[in-house]
Amino acid sequence: MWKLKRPGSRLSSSPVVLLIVFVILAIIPSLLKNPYQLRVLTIIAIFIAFTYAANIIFGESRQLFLCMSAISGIAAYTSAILSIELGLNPWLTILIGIAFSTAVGSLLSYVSVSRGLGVIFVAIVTLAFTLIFENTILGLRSITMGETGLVVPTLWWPLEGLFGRRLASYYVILAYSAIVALIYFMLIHSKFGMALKAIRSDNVSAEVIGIDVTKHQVMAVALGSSILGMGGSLYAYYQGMASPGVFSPLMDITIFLMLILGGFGAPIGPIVGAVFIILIQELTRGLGQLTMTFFGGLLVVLILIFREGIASIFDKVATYVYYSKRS
Amino acid sequence: MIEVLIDGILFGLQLALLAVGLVLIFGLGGVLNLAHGEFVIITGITAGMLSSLGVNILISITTGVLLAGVAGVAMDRTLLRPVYKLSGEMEILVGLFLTLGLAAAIDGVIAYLFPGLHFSINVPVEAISFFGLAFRPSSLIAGLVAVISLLLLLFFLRNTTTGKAIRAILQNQTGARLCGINVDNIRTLVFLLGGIMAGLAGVAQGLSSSVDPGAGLELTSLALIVSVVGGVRSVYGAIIAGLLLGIVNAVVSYLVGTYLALIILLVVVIGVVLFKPSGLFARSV
Repeated sequence: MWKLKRPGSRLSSSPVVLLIVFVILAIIPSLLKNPYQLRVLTIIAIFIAFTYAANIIFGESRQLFLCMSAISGIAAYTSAILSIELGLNPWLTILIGIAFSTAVGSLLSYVSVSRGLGVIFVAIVTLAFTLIFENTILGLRSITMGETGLVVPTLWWPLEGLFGRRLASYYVILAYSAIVALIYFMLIHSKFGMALKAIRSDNVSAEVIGIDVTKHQVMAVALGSSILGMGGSLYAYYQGMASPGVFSPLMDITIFLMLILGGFGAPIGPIVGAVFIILIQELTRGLGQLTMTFFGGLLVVLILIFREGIASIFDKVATYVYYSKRS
Repeated sequence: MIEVLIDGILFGLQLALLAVGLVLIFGLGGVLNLAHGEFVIITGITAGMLSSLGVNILISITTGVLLAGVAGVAMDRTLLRPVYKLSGEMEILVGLFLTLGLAAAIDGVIAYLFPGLHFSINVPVEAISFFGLAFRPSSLIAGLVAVISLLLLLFFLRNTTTGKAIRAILQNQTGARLCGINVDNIRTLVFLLGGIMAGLAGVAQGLSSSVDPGAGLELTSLALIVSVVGGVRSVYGAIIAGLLLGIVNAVVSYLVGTYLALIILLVVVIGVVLFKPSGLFARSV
């Protein structure tokens, strides 16, 4: 399970396919009629980046971080608080937010890797961290406004004059997730990515052949955390507020769903997963709280019978077409 | 201050009940049950609803507890079957994701059916005065329920053949299998026990305060915290850690407030995981 075994066609990891998908995502807004649809598309773009981050942290480096919501929430709240309290330029606060979440993520990874914690203990430590984050946000009511959330100043999006606010923010966020996808693609084909793969299959042998396991694991999480941080801050500025309801454990479940649905290790996977899950989420909005039940059930079904993800189905179909043409 | 201590002990007993079930299930099933808090809530809601409908209180409590036990068995017999075929890291990961999905699914249904409601089990007895301190009798009953069930559990594990078999599997699964212990059946029994213990925690909570249907994940995390501090495979450890953390939590929240108390508790847990991963009170079962 979750091994990268893609014989024949490699449609799901082809850079051309990746490029085409992002071009399509860039064209879609001109076909949309109302701002609601554009909004959904923007959220899809953010979650594409989040899922790439999860794919780096869990998929590539096999560290079960159950605190992705907290890591991106730290950046969101840091930038919100700094721009409100100190009046800093929002883009500067985004950078500071990224620095914060990267630092926190790396620290968590460093202690867990250097103490040699097993998967369960990493999960427990990070889950505890998620709860610490939530309770801090709820407890520091005077700064964070508790459950109601913090209203953030408006961000100036580049190209705002050309496209108008809504479209400009979409393109900025789409550019961010396209860059993240590119980073991921370069990562898995780099020496660093190979090293992560070696660690994943056997960390002792990896250490023996001279790979610095701690350094690579921590760097993977640092990269993932900075992606999560940037996404969190952008999300907060896009929404106009940072609220604990957004950066809650449900966000972790959503991201894992996207990752598993799309398939691990396939560069196209996070896009497929994010598009499917966000669309399902919007279509089932009428269910209210039952959405959670639906997602929980979906997670169970995916884990039980569908661990290779949708991306692998594309590959199978492509392989089939390829071989049937040759014979 | 004495009231605070007594509150702490009561809460600690609930924590112990919660964690014991989790420890048993993890030790035998190899599954860290992230849906554990939902068992507590299922019992709390069932018992609370039945008793408020006028059903005899003992019957409503028993029904609730048994329901949690049945939920445990059902989980073992259906959902977790594929997990036992796996091994190592994969077994743990698949178990985690499956129970997480189950927890979310149950949470959604409960939030849909009972939005914003809290359930408590009311005992028709008047307040008792004891050494000049006033007690709510339901809190005393809650404490009594917890103590008795923990003692019964310990007695069962120590003095019966089945209990010894459970402890044997906790120590070494392969060895136990070689001695002719049917691990599959014992595992189902342990899921029943774990569910019942979680249910009893729900009863204790429903008696002493109220059960919040939205607190599933929080309860699960509390159980995790306690079991980690106690040493993930030790029943004794879980009981002692539960009591200790309950008292610490009560005293600290009395001194600095609830949010900060929980944060301190969580930091303690991270510290324990990092510096003494085998737990503070780890001992052979």
